[in-house]
Amino acid sequence: MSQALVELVREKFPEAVTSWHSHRGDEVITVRRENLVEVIRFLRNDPQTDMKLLRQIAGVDLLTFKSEMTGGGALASIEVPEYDLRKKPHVEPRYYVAYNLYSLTKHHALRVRVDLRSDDVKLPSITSLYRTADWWERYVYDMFGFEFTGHPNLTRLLMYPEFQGHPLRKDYPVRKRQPLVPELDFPDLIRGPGPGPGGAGVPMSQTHVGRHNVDPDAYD
Amino acid sequence: MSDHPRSLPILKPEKPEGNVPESQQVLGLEYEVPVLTTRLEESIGFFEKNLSGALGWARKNSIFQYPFVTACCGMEYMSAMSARYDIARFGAEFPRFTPRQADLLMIVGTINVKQSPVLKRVYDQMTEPKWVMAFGVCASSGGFYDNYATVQGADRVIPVDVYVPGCPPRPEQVLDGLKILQDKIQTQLHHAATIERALDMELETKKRSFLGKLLGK
Amino acid sequence: MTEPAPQHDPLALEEDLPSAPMTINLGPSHPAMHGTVRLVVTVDGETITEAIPEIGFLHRGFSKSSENSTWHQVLPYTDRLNYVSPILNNTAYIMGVEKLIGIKCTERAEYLRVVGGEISRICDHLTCIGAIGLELGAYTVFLYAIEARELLWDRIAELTGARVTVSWTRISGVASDMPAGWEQHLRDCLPRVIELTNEIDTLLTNNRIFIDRTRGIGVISGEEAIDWGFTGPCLRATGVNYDVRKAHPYSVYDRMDFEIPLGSRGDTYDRYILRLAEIRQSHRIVIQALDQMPPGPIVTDDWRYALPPKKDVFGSIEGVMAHFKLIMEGIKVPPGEVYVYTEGANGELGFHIVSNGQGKPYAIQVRGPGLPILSALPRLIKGHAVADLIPIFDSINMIGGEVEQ
Repeated sequence: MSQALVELVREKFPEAVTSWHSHRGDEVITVRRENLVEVIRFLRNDPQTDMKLLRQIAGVDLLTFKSEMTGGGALASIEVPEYDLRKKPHVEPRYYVAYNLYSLTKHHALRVRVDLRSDDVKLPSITSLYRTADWWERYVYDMFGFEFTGHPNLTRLLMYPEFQGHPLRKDYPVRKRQPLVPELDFPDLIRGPGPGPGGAGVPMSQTHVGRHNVDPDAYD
Repeated sequence: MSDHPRSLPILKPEKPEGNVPESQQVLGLEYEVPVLTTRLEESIGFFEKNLSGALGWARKNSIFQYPFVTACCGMEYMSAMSARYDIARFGAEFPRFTPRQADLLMIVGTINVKQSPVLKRVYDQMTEPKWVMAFGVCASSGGFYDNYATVQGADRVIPVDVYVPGCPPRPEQVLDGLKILQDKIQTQLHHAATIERALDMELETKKRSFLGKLLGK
Repeated sequence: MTEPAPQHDPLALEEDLPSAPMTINLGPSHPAMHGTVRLVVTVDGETITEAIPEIGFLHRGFSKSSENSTWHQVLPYTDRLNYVSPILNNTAYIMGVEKLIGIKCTERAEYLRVVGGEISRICDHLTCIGAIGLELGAYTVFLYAIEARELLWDRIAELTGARVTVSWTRISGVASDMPAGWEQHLRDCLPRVIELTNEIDTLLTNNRIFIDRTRGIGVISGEEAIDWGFTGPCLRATGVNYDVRKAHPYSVYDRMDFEIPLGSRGDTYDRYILRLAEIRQSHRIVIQALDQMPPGPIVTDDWRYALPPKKDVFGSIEGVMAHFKLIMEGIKVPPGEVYVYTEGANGELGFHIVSNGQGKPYAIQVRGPGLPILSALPRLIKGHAVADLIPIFDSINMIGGEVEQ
């Protein structure tokens, strides 16, 4: 059912759709950034497609897609090792944004992807088409840092304004907190007393197995 | 001491023999009161202890809670408050949603970094005496959210009196935590003090007796 | 000759009292029992002219934490997304993983998931209705709703081991089967739950005060609701018939006979009535699922995806190896990207899951049904009085966990 939909879009916008595939029943097309708004406008307004419900806008960072693993040495260090970032060639395009669209009348769904390079993270906003895109785009901006041009109020949604960085990017360490209130000294039974709150000052490499390659400033 | 301008001929209290605890030692002029000779300290201590006990009893059985509800523990908080697990039978029934009127700040749920200034402000706005209960593991230690967004325990932001673990804790566990807190409140030493002396009460180094203050010393 | 002073009639209406708009902050810590959100409302007298919601006070880093846990370790995180109906979240996530793997759930486990999921849905609606009652001053309604929820939670605790955060589903199945006598227990307690629901119904539905406070408040039309991304009870209250269980039946919902209640006006009263009706429909589904449930295994016997039974773990080398690999490295899910959507209690609950072939998810983002609805809150409350804010905010049932991940 959605196969016909993909064919329709490819007919209308032959140069915009760069690739398409179907995985486990989900139809996905990748479009160029410049044609994003007109493709989505077509999908929304055309009576054959009628995709009036924007379900979600999701962002993905493909930096460690090939290198991330579980098991073996990866058990101990769960962050992107420094040498990976320095030595290995960066995967391009590094990011993509996925728009999940759905039609309530025709009951078909489509995912529209836009690829972004790591040095060029601007893309057009579709708030003029869907009012719900407002907050989804703010969420993706907050978590990844993509700038949606044309968005009426592109500010952080979930994190606070003093937060530096974009948390869901793969090079943001998972435990790197940026406290707003200075943390109190409290007794830490595991790490013991130390100069900072809760025994900080004792390096994580001494208290946790395998943490010898982590940046001590990034952790608590 | 006998040439002190205000001294009267008195009988000095006898120093009890044997192992004397620190708190029972005689210090300062205000203990020289011409009323009782031996067991002076014990009689004043007895009065103060009972007053303290009475205040503790009154305070522990009429806790006004401020439920700072954020997350899933709120569901068990609702259960603890409702008919089956009735927190009202311990006196801690009515939630006061303003910090000015509350004694017990129950931190129910995860505190994340964005919420921490809010929590600190609410705690600062509460009037003395106040106690804090960390309800759930997220409030006690951050839970299993060891990431960029979550404060690893509310005790990094404000001092906590009772920790109730659980994810979320069963209402019986909450009631147990409340019982522990009530014991703590009961045995807390409440000194009767005049307004000017209230600040000094924080400093446990200076021991003042009630009767001494009554006599204006 | 001076003119007489103008007569000042003290009883005349002072219609042009000077007033300026005031900005009030409904702070992140507020008495309403739903989620921690900050609303900065600008009021002109009693009428709300503008409202700006600010969220993020419960953002717990679900996506980032799940990128650093194995596929099964993510399950407890999903419990805490919509913490009033956790089995529905577990089911949605596990369905996404199963879709990526290409594995089917066992028959009995499908029915068990339906039973557990519908009980969770009833709990969610009861909590919402109880909170609506509580916020509007009907404390008794809250107590009845919580008592009904306690009865159901006792059953869930017997079934899964925990009252609230269960982490019950597993890949291609569920973690635990019904204990002996549980089915009869459930059949005995459900009439009491329905009785309590009927009590709430008699207390609120035809209550003049309740109707005055909720009818015509927070009205939104169907088309606008779709544009705002509404799904679930808030959308069905406007009259749009979209329920994922009927539109794209998943699990065994196509074998169940139930109706989708629809509202007409899209106001707060309709949203309340709808939730009440959905409790009764969920009850129907539970009874049918219990009747139709076949005997059988509750999880697959493919040891690449499900833990082997303990006698094999302790008795055979293959069992030990399989157990070790599953626990230490996680289930190896083939690479791909999938978006799975189910009917959560608040609307369409979706998971966008990306896998790179390893034992941990590469990226997960949850489509919480509450986020689009909350983003429309300023639109819903504009023009109403401050006192109408609370019924509207309660009826949209914003659950902080799923909105802010």
